[in-house]
Amino acid sequence: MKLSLFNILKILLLRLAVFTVCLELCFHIGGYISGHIQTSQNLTRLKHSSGYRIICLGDSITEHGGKHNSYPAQLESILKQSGSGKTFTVFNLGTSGKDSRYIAAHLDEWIRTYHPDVIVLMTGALDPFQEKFQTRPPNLFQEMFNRLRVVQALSVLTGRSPWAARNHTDNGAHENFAITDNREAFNRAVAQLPPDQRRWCDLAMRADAFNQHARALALFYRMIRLPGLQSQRAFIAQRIGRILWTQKNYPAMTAVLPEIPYFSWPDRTVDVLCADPDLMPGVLKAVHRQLTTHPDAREPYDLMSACYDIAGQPEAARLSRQQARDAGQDTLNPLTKVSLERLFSILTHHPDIAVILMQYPRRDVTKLQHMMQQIPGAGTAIFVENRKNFEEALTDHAYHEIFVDRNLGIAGHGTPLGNRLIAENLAGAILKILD
Amino acid sequence: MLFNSTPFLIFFTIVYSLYLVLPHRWQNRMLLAASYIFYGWWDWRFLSLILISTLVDYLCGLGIARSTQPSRRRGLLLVSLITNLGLLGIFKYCNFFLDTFARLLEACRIPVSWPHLNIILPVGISFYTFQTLSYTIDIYRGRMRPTTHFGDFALYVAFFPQLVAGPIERARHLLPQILNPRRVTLAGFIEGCHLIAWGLFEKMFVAALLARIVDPVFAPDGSTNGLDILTALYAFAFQIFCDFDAYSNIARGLARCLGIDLMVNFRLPYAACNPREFWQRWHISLSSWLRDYLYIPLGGSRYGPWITACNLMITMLLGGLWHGAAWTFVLWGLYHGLLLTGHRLLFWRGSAPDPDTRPRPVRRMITRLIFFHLVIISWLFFRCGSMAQAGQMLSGLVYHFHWTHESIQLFIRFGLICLPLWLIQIWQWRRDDLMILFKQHWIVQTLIYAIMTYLVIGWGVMKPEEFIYFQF
Repeated sequence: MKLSLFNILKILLLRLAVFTVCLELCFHIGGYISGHIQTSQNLTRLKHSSGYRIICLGDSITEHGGKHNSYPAQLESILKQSGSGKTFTVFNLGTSGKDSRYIAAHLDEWIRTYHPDVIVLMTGALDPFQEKFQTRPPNLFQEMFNRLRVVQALSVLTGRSPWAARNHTDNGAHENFAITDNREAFNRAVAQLPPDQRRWCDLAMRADAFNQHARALALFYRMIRLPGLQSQRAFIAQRIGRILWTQKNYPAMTAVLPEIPYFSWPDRTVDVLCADPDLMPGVLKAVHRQLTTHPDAREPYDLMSACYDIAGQPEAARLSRQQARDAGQDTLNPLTKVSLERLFSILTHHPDIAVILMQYPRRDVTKLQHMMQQIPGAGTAIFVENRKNFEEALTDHAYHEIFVDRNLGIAGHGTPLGNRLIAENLAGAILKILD
Repeated sequence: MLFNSTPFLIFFTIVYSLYLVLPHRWQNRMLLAASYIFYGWWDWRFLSLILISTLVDYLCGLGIARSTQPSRRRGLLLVSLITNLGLLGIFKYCNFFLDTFARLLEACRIPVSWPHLNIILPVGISFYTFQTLSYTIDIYRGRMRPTTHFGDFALYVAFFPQLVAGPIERARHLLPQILNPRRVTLAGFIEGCHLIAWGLFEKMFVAALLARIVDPVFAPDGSTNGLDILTALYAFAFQIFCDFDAYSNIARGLARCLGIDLMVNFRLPYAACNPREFWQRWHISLSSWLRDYLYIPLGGSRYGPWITACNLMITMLLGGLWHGAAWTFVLWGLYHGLLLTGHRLLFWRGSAPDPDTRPRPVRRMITRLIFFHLVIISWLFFRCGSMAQAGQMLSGLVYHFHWTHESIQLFIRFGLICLPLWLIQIWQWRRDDLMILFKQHWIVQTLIYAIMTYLVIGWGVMKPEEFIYFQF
């Protein structure tokens, strides 16, 4: 075959096609095998189990960590060591990639197989991504394309790689980013730096106190890049923002705005910054960042609608106001609502099973509780929140020590430590129920 | 920069793009700058050391070749030896010697307290000092002519693919390739990519997953079950092999893309039946260096069995010490020295056996298995943090051997992780060709690469993690 460009392309494309097909097959076979392994392991443990049986339902946040580090595994060891004298077996029935619909469909089968005494449910994060419930249904080709495991793997990979993360400014480039406005936490972080970096920080704070703006700014910009101070980015960014706001340096302020939590923004920030049409995209980006870091807050939507009003985009402003109302009204994703209704209609036939609805780390559970009041049969469910324990932990640990990624925006899959926090929290609730 | 990280990917893309368009002289200059950037990425202060070594050996090389007086030549060789070994000694072994000396004095009831020097171990120092030494020694022996081009010599010393843990190249092999123009061919590029892909698979799947089996057992609170320890030893044997082989393969692959040929560093070492064969297959660049520059000058095997035994022991002791400044490494070297000496005195008939008179395959396989287990005992010393721990694990291996359900599962996990590696390596062994995978029909290759990719993405570790041999 002649070595022409056309022939080379033909060869490359053919090989790429074969490669992709093989890889897709591998994903399917591998997924089937690992699911099979998990189920058979659970069934083996079921045969030898006694005492209380607890099943944990959910998605990859539940499954992640395997036999030793997932939160159900750690839950079992914590309960065993609790000294309550009862025996516990915890089954991890979490399945990566599955939404609440899958759980509702299989609940009956699981109850019949495992005869649980307690069901722990942590689901809902994947529901917004189901095609049927999106506002614009994708065409058939797009749906099939999105279902390919290879495509899913690629999107996960590019989301995880540091290069891509650096481009996703609304997700944060630094994994160990935790929002804290705590002066004590800042001082503690500074105390752990090497001596020359500590000196900069002291000089910076002193310069800020004496309103030596240029010096303070230069030092703060340096500090915000230090690896040891990544957990204090918001604190430093607030100080930078304050100086720039005083100096009326609005372009620079827009650049640092994404790092500043929305509740620290001065009044009329959006009005002032968006008066300059060049700064509008930057402000919108900053507001979007606030939405990902504070998914349960209502104010970012208000800020966004203010932006769009000034930009002269009434339709977008109206949509943002609608979303603000939804955030305020604590509505669940419609798919989650349907699945939960189905779940509880099954559970009314099993009144002796205790149900625990657990919220994802760092998320507000009051919305869930509010919603549950409208679902028949959900009155006896117990709610467990994972907010206080994680916020406390994040003042002592870097983000990456608790979470492996940012798949949930402000949280993600847990490290063994992160999963342990969930397990400890849950263990307390379970022991209280059984008493 | 670690090979399996994004900065390196960007770095190499830029370097390679420039390499393809530049003429030969500029290629060398660009590669030199790139190599210093690569090395300085860890710590720019390390550059000073490599520059010292480069400068000294360059001048010594020229001086030795130009002078005719034996005393002067010997003097210059000594300068080179002292500089390189001195650098190595100070930056790697200073604290080790001081601590050992202090402990000796304490044993003699003489209390000493001197400060523990805060010396960072420069990355790759053991490799490039040996590489430059091979240059000066070969010139001294009249085996090669020195180069007058300082830039090219500096590139020989600092060539980034093999600088940090790569094959220790000989000047006779690598320097001519640098001095002369190179041809970059499509076939070479593809072969280089194959090698890099295989190396990445070894590192990111096999070595990384085996580390998760090994590290918990070797941790201070690790399991004391004999079966767990045995599994961890097996796993470590393959972990360190894959880790190191991966680095060597990626280094060779990168060099191949650039049109440069680096020596093979591993040839299926666990297929060896005896210690002699093992050292012809494991870390070939180091063992051949030690043979040519230490063992043979000491006399080799020419002066009778006892002198041979001495020479073997000295060589292996220093080889062990080369790996690190700790008594566990010395013990590892000592153990291998004993194996070599024992084999030589008891089994060696003077020359390699005839294929016709070789023992039957079954007997060879049994010998292989026995020898493999002898080698993994040596890895116990290599991996353990202290002699006390090594003793503990040995006793656990012998006295606390229990067939628990979890230990069996751990062993099965080890087997599953190594299975792809074993399949490929047995194939390489049966066909006696390390590149057998890359010569298959493209459908077979594509299928295998798809499986490898799936294993790395689905089960492997994607974050950049250090290669074990970096601390050397």
